[in-house]
Amino acid sequence: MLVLGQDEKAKYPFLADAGEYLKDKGFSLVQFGSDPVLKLSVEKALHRIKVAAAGEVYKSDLIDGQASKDYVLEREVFSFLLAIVLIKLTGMSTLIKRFALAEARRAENYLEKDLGNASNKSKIDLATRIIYDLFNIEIVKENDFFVIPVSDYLIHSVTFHEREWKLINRHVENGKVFLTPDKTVRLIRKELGNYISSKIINAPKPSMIPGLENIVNELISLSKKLTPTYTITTGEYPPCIKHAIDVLEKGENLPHSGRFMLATFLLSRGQTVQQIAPLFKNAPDYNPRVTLYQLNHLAGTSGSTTKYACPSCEKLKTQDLCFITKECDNIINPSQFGKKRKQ
Amino acid sequence: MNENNIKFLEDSFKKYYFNHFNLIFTPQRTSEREFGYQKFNSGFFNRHISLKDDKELHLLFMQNIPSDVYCSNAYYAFPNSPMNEKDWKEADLIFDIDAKDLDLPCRKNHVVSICNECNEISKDTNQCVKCNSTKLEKKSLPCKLCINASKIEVNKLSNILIDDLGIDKENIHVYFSGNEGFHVYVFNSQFQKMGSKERSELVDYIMFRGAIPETFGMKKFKPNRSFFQISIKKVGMEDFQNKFLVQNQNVQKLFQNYLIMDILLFKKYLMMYQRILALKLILM
Repeated sequence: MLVLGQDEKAKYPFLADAGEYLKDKGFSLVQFGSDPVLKLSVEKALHRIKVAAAGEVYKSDLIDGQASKDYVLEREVFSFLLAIVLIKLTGMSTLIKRFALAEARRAENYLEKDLGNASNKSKIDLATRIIYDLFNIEIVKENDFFVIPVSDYLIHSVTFHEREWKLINRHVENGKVFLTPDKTVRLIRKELGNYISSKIINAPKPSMIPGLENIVNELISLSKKLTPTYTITTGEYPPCIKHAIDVLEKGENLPHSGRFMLATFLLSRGQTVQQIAPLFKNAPDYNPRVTLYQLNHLAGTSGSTTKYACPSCEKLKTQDLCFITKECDNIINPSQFGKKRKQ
Repeated sequence: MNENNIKFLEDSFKKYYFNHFNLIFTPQRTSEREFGYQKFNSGFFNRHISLKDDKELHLLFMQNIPSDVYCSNAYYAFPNSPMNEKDWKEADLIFDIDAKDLDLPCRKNHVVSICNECNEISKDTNQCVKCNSTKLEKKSLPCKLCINASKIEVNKLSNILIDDLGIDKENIHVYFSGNEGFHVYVFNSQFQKMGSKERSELVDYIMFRGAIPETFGMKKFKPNRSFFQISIKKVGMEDFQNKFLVQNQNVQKLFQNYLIMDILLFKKYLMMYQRILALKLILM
């Protein structure tokens, strides 16, 4: 169990026990709806959510990670806890996601500073303890770097789309990856976001606090504006898929990875195994029984029942299967091709 | 295959299984793995078999006289259950190094193709000389050059496994694959519990796939201001230095010579290099 100092509670408020904290300070939630002094914290909470909803990171009143006065510190923690209460009252999942991500990025800034603070060993220790306690990743400081086992690195970086996160672009030695403080913390951003959102989701929904109705309604309408209302699809295939179909139609060999891409893409577009199987008829090594077995496996109708997803554009690039055109429009997976979000 | 030939093969295999079982490697943690086998001249694949130990494996050999026996690299809670009920625990890493992926000049001397349409056998491996069909099955026998080239790849791989990935030498086992190369097994590593995405990322590392010039200090803009401070050794690509650059020279100086090329050209060089290692990870 982590023991947090006052400053740490303000920097990483999601680690504090919300109920306990309020009780310790002698407040109840109802007071925040009516007490004019406490209303300042409510306004701060609202600001915190709005900043997160806009995709930005809330700037706190801490200076170098420390509070100048006690009440500044209290307001920091209160505004976080109240923001969660307000989001719970709206019941809008878009707000949970955006708030959790923004708070994760805010905490990331502090963790990065603490890890990079070479002169303060206790800060480094606390940051590494937080990462270990929350995500079970053991980080060891070695000179100017933080080293983590390659397997831990891969588990956390495998979903990143930027090429610099591929293991080949990292310093690897003796089963360990060497990272700078900012990269170490960036590695766990998603988990940090998940941790915060699971805390919000699992928190009990309070009943409406008199005096906060207008704020809650304001947040509901803000959230509705953020949610895309519908998606339109052109139905056209991306160039990688067109290329794969061309290769097969010519009777040429499409590598296993290409067949996997084609089948998973068409399955994601709602085609059935029976509709897809004839595409492979011209393959030099075509075997109807094996084709059906493999397609059923990918569709999750046989074997492990896992439905396989179409590989990312990044993965296809490394397999020489990407034939990008400007119509791809910065998509990160072929299944997004031709889909447009309308607000 | 005619019955006499099958009988002959089965008798010979039975004799071998009886007399030389000690030469057959029984993988560790036998009871947690799935086994399967095929018999001579039978398309049926008998699988989802669980065996307690090497004695039960021996019994399976003697009772069924299989032509092929398979064993999962994965460990399961219930290896004899259907796939979705096996309860996957972890899996060893197995790498397949095959001479056919090395583009060796000797291949044309020992590869023939059999046409799936008319059964014509020819040395043309792209198109049937008789009916022009492209549905060809290739058959090859390895030569000494193939095996030696595969051995070099095994050495490269084990260096990366030991130096970069921190795997103990005694946990790396190498076997002749039975075709044109070798299988490299890695037991008890930190990678046992990793899923298929992470494993494929590991293969990209070993194959040098996805390297970006910036990793070596090349700046995207104003490349003449690049400073190549990361040594090749540090990113585990000593071999890269041997093949792409000239050996034993100052890395900084060498890279400065490449400053005349722009970032796209440098990228191309990196991509060319990735094809040198011929390696696949067996995912079972």
